[in-house]
Amino acid sequence: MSNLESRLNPQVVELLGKIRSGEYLRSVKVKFIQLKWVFLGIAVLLALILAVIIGRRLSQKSAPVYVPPIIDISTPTTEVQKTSAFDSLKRSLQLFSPQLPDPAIPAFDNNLNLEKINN
Amino acid sequence: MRKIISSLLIIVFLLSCFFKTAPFVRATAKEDYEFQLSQYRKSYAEFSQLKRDYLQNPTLDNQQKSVIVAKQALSARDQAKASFARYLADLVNGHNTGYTAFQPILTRLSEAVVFYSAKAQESQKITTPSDLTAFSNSYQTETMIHDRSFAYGQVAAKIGNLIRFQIDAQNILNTIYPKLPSPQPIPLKARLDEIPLTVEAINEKISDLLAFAIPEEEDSPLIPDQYFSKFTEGLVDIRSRQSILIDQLIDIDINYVQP
Repeated sequence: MSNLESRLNPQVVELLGKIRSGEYLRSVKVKFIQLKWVFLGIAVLLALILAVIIGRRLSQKSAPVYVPPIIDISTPTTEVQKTSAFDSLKRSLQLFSPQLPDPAIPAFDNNLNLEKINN
Repeated sequence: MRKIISSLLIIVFLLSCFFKTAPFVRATAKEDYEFQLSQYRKSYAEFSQLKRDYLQNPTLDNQQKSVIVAKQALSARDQAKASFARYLADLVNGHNTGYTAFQPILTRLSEAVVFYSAKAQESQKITTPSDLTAFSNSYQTETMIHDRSFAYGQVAAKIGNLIRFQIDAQNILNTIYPKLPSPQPIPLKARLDEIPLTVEAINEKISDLLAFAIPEEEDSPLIPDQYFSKFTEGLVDIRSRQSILIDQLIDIDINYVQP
């Protein structure tokens, strides 16, 4: 036993002895084999999460715009506009202007002369 | 003899060709009025210029030129007035109403045509500036009553237009009467009973309005704004009543006549 080992905790010395002999590695290996499905499951879960994150990033970078096709489901309404024999008369009445004078009475000079006062 | 007959035949043939191909151009009253008015405006502008020249430089030459152009302006003015009266009479008659109450106004318009045509001739006798002054002085008093006829004609033309609507509505109503269902449903009967009352009320309004067209006193020149304003109000009222009547007729036509 070296001087260093004499100064260490006996438990640590025991652990070092196990590592050196390979006993510790074996126990770890056994435990890993026992829990291998758990590790595999965790790995698969991480892979899935990673795939989702990567997929989302890619989709955000070049988001394809989805344009839904225009489906004309509205049926044209055929509203029958009824016309009357009086329609043209109504239009004529609407166009009638009650303003007077119509036509405008032109301005005529009723006092044509050559006198200075009227110039 | 044969030569004469053949040449006569050629002349008759040529004349018949001319009458067949030459278009008969007959100006309407409106076109005639517009032409006469343009002639007056042209000659009046020329007269105004020559009058200025004459007053600045009163030579015999300038005086003669001014009198000659003044005569042209007077003739054009009175012919324009005569054609305006004809045009207004044409507007009144154009509605083919046969409304006898228009007759006094039409008479006044025809009197105006005669008066202005005579004045257009009479003015051509003017030879001096004093003749021109005398002519204008008497003209101003004589023309007042005939100038007023223009305003009456305008009112009659507008009322005539509204009467035409009334007659047209009645004509169309007569054509749809046989198509109405028999026996008549109660709502239809109520509406049909209402029509004569509405028509009668409109006719009264028309008659009342036209009664004021020629005022009792005509001893002063007519003030257009004052005169026309009351008629414009009356025309608006009649038009709105006729509009309601036509809406009622359209309703009957659409709901009871059409399948």
